[in-house]
Amino acid sequence: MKKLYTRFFHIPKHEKIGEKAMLVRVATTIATIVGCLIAMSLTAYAYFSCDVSSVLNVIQAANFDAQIAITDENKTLVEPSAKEGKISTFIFTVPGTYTVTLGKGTSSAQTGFCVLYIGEDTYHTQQIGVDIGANNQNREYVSFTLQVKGPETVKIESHWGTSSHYDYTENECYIVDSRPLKVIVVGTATNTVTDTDEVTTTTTTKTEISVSKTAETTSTTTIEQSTASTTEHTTTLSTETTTTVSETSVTKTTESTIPTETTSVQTTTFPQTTNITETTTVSHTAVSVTTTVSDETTTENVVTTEQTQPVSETTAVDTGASTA
Amino acid sequence: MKPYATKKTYKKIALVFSLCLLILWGVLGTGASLAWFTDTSPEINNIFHFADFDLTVSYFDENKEWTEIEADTTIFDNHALYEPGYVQIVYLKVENEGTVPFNFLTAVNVNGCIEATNAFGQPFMLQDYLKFGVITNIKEQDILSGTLDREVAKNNATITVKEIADMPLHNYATTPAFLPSKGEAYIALIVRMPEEVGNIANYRGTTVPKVELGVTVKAEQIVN
Repeated sequence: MKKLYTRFFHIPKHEKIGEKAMLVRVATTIATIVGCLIAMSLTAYAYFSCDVSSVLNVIQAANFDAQIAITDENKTLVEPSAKEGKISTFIFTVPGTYTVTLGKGTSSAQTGFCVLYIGEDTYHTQQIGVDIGANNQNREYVSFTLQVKGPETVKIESHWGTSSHYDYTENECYIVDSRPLKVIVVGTATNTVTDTDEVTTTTTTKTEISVSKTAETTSTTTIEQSTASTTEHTTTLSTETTTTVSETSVTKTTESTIPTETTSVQTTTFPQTTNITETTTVSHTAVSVTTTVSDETTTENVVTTEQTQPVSETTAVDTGASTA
Repeated sequence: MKPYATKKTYKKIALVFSLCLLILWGVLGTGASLAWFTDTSPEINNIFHFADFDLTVSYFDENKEWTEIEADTTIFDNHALYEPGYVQIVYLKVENEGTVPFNFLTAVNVNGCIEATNAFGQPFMLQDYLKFGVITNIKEQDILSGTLDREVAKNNATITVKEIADMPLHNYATTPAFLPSKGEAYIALIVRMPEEVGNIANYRGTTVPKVELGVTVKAEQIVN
């Protein structure tokens, strides 16, 4: 520092002023003058201009997340199987009637709606909250009924905004909060043939099986019957059973009189051959029978089988079937 | 007499003399200028005085009154929550209370933005889904009668408002407008969220998306 001072600022008393010291002083003076000029200009500019500012304004967004309450016939709450973002997924496995109630919950938005995804169908609900299209009516809840026929997955998405901005078909895919509640049928019954299936065949099958039986045996008969019906049961027969396949009609009701154990699967195949061996098996093969079975299906199969020992005999089974 | 002392004295004298001459020059120049610009004629035609430059900006508050804007004044409702179809209009009154006309402009500055997560789990910025506009030729009568507010309330946002307030929210300044001395001008600032904004801006979680907005009205002297 002393060196710098001596070199650029010090003027010796009895000596000539150095060139560098002189230059520094001149430069300092010029810089001061320029600085003053700039300050004067800025002051003049500031004097003749003015501004007013408001800088603390905050713009923030609302959000909409619907409160979803689904109850079954016993008023038991159905919990969602998954919730991701604004989409809640409900899996219905038990058929029945479910009441769905959608509300605003803790949403900060004034209004919103829900989108339901059921299979390939998409439903939009009425506005939940302030409905501008209905004179600013404040709708707290939108309720409707789901009639579940079979296993189905329903996704419910919370959506802010106005449902009228999105594609929907009124009356069909638009859910309004009405009394009585709008009913939406979902799912397909597991033991029903499609309603479009009409009975086009009438099958009369008569099967007689007679096997000489010299000894008491217990036979296990497996009847496989394939129909369009999804009802299945396996039967374990006693020694004396008769099997008749009755005519099928649009509504087929059959009573099962098989006294033995029945399981859920019954399949009948036609034509059939019977091989009686040590363990007798009787198989029936039927042509395709299209039946429409109501929810309450009872199957009447009476199988008459006479079995005799020795079981090594092979018996041909005559089947008479006519299809129309 | 020592020669060194004489030289030093001469230097001092010369320096003092130079300073005196400089001061004399300044005084002569200033005096001449003042004399040139003053006249003692009975009819005062040449008056040289400094201009008075004064700008006042007020906003139309919730009590339907004009309130002057201070440094800590918020003109937008900070509690308002924007959703599709929401529109907020702020009216400003610019007054020239000075003695010289000036040009003024209105500037909007986005000072900050808080990022949030939307319904699909994606980050988003709220300002990307907001529109704004500035109306500078509005009349006070329309403000007091609430004409624009009624139009907006009719159906979320009328076509007029949609056409005017259709700029993405970003830093913006209007072109300078002339305001004579003692004149008034009215401005409407519109910030809205379009109705077609979907769940892409519907946030989830605890972080609320925000935009910090600054509004400045600036007046500048007219240069001849």
